[in-house]
Amino acid sequence: MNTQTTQANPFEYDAALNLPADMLIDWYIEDHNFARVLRTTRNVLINGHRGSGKSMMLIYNSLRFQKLRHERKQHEFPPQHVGIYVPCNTPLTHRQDHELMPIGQQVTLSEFYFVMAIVEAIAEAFEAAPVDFLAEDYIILADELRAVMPNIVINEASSVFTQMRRNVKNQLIILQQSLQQGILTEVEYNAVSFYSLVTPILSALKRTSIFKQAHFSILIDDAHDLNLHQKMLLNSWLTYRDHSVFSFKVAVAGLRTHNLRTLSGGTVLEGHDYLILDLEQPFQSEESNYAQFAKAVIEQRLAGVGLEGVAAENFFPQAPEFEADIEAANASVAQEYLKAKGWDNLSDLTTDQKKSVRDHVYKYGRAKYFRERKAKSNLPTYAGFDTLVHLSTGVIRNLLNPCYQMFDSLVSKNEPVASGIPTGTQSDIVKSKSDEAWEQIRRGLEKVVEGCTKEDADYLCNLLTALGDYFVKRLTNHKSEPRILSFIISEAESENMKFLENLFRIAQEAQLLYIRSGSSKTRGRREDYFTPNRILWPVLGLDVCGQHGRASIPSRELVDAARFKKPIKSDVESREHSEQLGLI
Amino acid sequence: MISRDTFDLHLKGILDSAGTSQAMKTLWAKYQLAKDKLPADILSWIPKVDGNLSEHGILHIDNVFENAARLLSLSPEVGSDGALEVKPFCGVDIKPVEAFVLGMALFFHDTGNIAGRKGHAKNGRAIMCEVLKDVLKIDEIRGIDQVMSAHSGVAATGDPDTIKALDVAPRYICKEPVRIRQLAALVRFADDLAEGPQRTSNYLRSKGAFVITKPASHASNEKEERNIFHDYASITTVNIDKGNGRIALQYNINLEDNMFDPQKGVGREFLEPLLRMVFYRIKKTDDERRYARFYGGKLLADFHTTEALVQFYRNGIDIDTGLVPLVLNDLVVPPHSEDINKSTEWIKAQNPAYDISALFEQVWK
Amino acid sequence: MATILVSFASWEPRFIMGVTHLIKSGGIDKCVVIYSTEYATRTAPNRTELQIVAREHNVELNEIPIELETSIASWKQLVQELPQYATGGIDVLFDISTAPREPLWYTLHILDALGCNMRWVYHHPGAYTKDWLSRNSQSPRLILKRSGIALPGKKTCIIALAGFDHERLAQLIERYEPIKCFVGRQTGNQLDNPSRNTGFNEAFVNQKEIEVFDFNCYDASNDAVQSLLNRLPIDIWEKYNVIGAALGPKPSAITMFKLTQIHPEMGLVYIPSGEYNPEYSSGIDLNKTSCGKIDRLVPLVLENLKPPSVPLVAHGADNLPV
Repeated sequence: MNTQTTQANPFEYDAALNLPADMLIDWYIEDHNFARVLRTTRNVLINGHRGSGKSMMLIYNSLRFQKLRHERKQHEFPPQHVGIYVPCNTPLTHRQDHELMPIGQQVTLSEFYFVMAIVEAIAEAFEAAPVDFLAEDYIILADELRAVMPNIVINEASSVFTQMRRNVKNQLIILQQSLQQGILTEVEYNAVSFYSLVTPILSALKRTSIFKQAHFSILIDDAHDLNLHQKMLLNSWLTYRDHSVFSFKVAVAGLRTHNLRTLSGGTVLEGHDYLILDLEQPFQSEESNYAQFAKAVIEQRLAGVGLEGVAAENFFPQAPEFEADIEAANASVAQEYLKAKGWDNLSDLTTDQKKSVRDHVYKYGRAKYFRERKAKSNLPTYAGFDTLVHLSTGVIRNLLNPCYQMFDSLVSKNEPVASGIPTGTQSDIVKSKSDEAWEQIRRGLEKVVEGCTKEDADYLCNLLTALGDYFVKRLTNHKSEPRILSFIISEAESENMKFLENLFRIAQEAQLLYIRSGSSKTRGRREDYFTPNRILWPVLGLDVCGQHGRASIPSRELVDAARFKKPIKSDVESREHSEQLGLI
Repeated sequence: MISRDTFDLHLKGILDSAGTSQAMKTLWAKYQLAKDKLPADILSWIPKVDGNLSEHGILHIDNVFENAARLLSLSPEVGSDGALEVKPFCGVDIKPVEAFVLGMALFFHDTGNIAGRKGHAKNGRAIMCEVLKDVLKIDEIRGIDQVMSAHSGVAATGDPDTIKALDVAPRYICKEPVRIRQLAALVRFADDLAEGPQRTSNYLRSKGAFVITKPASHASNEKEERNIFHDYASITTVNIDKGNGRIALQYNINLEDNMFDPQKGVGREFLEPLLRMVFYRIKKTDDERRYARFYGGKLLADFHTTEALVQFYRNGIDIDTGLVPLVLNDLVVPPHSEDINKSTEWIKAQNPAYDISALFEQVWK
Repeated sequence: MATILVSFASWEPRFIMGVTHLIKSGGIDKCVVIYSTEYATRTAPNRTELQIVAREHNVELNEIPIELETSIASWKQLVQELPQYATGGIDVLFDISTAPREPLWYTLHILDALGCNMRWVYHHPGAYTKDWLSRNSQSPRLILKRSGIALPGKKTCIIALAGFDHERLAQLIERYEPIKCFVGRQTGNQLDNPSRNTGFNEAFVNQKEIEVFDFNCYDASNDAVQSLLNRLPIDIWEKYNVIGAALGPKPSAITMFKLTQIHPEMGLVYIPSGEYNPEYSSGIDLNKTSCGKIDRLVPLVLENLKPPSVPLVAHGADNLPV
């Protein structure tokens, strides 16, 4: 959502579906690894919460946009991988009519709605992005449609997609009208299934001269919005082994808790039935994919408002005093380490020794700065592109949102934007957003998160407060990993986990917590790790850049923190040298 | 979620719902007694008898019970008071006494390992009689023993088809018919599928604790070799997916950095025997699946496919090999037209007595 | 002809005071009280008192328990029970004062389908609590039988009549991600409206996709519905999947229901609350009772999506005082 201003704000963060097409094409940053996965013929489940860019990715790869990209950027068209975009966050999906029927018919009606939506998406895609079908191709399509779509009237073969849409529309209107009538629910409609309608249409398209070598990707967006029957139907379709004609690319918010069961009572399995594309990426270092991606997004947006060639780091500069202080802290820590090791000069060291110095500085340099800040001083300055990237906690919308407000703030004061956002403005906006986040928590999440009781909201507030205190204590005291801002759960007892899972769900909905999957210390296995939204930490004076690693906290301590406001003590070692505190 | 307790909940439920007969209540009491005694007295001691066995104790038995629950697709719904909220063994072709016999066989099937691996399938009866002395009736003992003894090894005739030797007709236990072969197939299959990291210790593996000492021969000295079974267990995940009719195996093989030094060949030395073991076990699992499906009746009829997927990692990061799952199923597509001679040869290969020449000799002898 | 009074039981004083007032005013020979099983204990005292009042005035009293937790449960219970008391041609007076919107709409739909002559009445409370009114909102859901005509390939447009709880509106917008949103904001200073509406401007005014206009949510007359229609661009019905929400004072639910009679392609959406404040409101202000008629309006045919060129056809006078 944006405010009307005289200068266009390049950091718009509206829902992808509502963005103008040319804006989406100009702003989209293609990630090589993601693109490679999307172009496989295998099924893919795309995991990413709100704001991670999954809708944008699917829309960008849909046929209409493939055509627009061809016109604007000379991308290949017709493409080898044809994207059919099917949004699920629609009033059609949210209907509950099926519940008026016996259970068997519920599945039939649910499938009808879903299949109709896919057929409409196919027709709309080809209407919006016409391809040069030959006359024989149209005949192939028309013949197939007459066989599989009841009552379709195709007078001219070239109008085949228009007639498809008309037929879908008529069937849906008649059905929904009859569902609204009276009290009883007696409806008649031509039940269809994915295999009776969609598969033949796609197979017919593949027989045309244009698409003989093509593969069709059915891009299902917001699959978590489907009703239970539709989710199970989709899962059943994922087990279909033949990918010669089509495959599914399914975007889900929160794959961790997504229903993976099929209609037959089975389960779809990662690797066997689908690959995972996880948009919630590690973002800890400047070299991480996410950091590179974030930089590309910002610079692309700046170019769009006439600021070509402006580096993100320059547009969002770091505060010089802060940089100098960090340098000084790093140097001091390096010196202490050299002295402790009995090494004289950095330049005389071996490669391995130099690496150990760098590692030590990485661990303790920034920590020293944050620990030694004067007790009565204000909060640190939170500025600089790197800081903003870390604050976004790996979700691109969390980066764009404060950038949008920073830009807006300058424009509203009639200040020039070309030279970048002053560090003071950056820091003020960051701190105010941090305040806002805590304000929302204290005001009561039961008002904004579905299915959150007052009690849950209080528990979550306690838990996040305790985690904040824990990270502060760690920063002050921990010997080896003082700046950690993520955790894993140890001693995960089932009763505790049941309690915590509910709080985590609420926190995720409110975008206060991100749960990701990373490799565990047990090689080859994955484990969940939890990262509270880093926007929470500026008001506590924490180093939002964090460091690699995860604290291990027993489930019992998390539950006690939430229920009884007990402090989290686990894994907080005392340092050998006590230092003056004062982080706020 | 299906867990170790799912089977017990269903067993109790089906015995409770079998009426108020004393016999059913007694069966549950017997089962409880076994559950109380076995872990402490027997199961927790099995690994200590032979440290190189992959785990056959409590964790393994829990895993086997869980597998049985998954093979039967038992619903895991439990109410807040712990009571089962669904009909026990709903949709499963099993009677109350059969469920009891199954549960007891699952408990005791590997207890014979306490006396050593060899012949352990047969030794379970003696242990059962000892542990539950004067508790089980003779028909119960015989039935349970039959079901569990076929889970490994060979029949008395030396035939690896151990289930063939069991009663075809139902055996009467507590005056109820019990289909021994079907239950035996289920026990065997649940046991065979009990693979995975729970059968080994990553810590001990990393310390080289699991080695096989090969005795000295005239050609070489005594030497220690890596116990590949433990490596295999650490990389294996078994998914029992009844709804889709499959057993889906997944192997996650993580390679350390030093395994990518082409000159040292450490990687290949590590990987090749492991992959051979993986492929061996894939085929074995598929063979066991078909075997279980043959004898398991309706209990196991749905499992028509074995799938296997091998994934490689370098220090926890995926290596993209482009491998798709290996699919082994029972599908036979009748050919559109077949060479009649080929069919003749095929029949002869199944049974040489059906060779036409041999038949002629018998007819006109 | 005597009238059947349909009401929805509540623990609020205005429920018992309002229904008692209606019974005492005469013309009621049967009273049907719908009550939620989830709040059965909380509403029991008022329902017991009502039984006494009904007996004293020779009014037959019937109760219909419904479960609010799911749409289908409350729908099925109402469909089963209401036809026993209401048939074609019967006059029904529906006291909507304390009816949650979802069963309110179901009741209207069923009575309309049965051919009843419907009037509605809404009793204003003396005051609302200064504390929270409701919380623990659940997932928004479309109303059965009034889910509209949704077509794939169309974006979503929301029409909302909003009251105190702008967080509900924000929840709706976040959920459905509409391309356009038309919000009628409650006017006036009654019941601390201005102070309760703080935050509304920051959240919604001057947002690109949201058009806010003042609207008197207490007025559910045909004229009010027409004026709402006049606020809306003609082409939204064809261009978008339209969802309507009544988040303001209760009569706004009548307005939205009437809108679906004219535009059945609009779906109604409801956001259930997990908790209601036991001290929700106090007293009753009988001087400010709102009321009206619900006509059997002729819906526009879908292909002919023009608003009526003449005021809505209504059979009978509107805004009749009770």
